[in-house]
Amino acid sequence: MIDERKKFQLLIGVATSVVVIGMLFAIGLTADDEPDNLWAILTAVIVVSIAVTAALVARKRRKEMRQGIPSDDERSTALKMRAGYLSFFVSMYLCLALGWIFGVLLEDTTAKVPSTGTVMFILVAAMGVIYAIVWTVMSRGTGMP
Amino acid sequence: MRTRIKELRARHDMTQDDLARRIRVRRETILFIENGKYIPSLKLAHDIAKVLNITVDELFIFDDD
Repeated sequence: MIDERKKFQLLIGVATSVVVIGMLFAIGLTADDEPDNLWAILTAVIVVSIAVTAALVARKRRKEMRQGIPSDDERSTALKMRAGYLSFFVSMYLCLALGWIFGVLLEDTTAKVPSTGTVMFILVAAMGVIYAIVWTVMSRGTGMP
Repeated sequence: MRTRIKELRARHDMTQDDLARRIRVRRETILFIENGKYIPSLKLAHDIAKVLNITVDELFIFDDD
């Protein structure tokens, strides 16, 4: 079970990531000068974050394989499933928040809305980042259910 | 619920790493089971008990016992 302190840290981590991503979207949408650059920067930040995380995980796995440590066991599998489930729900709420920003807050503004492809790409990338955050917090703090 | 893994490991002069390797799990899994933060499956509990030469029942201490 997750203790209260870890639950709070997890909530703060997830809330922070949602707020930061949401703010970046809002800044990107409302910026007057060349918002396209902001999209490019945001996309690059997300892609680099995922690439760095993947590289670190791969390096750790390779080292463990040499030592004969299994890459997965029942706890790590359960942890992945739990982190995936949580990041899926957080991503859904993120989509909802972005829909609200696009549909309600920016309805009457002249903000430049990015293409559907760009939004989809950023959402999927953000989902990956959220998964990494949730997995990290959960794996360090608890043993899982 | 608590476990007697730590105590039994010490009796067998076994580290967490040794036990993890014997039952083919990651060391953290043993750590979390010992700390009562992860409840293992029946299969894993059986494997641990087998290595430590006890029964599954003897591996755990239930608070209402």
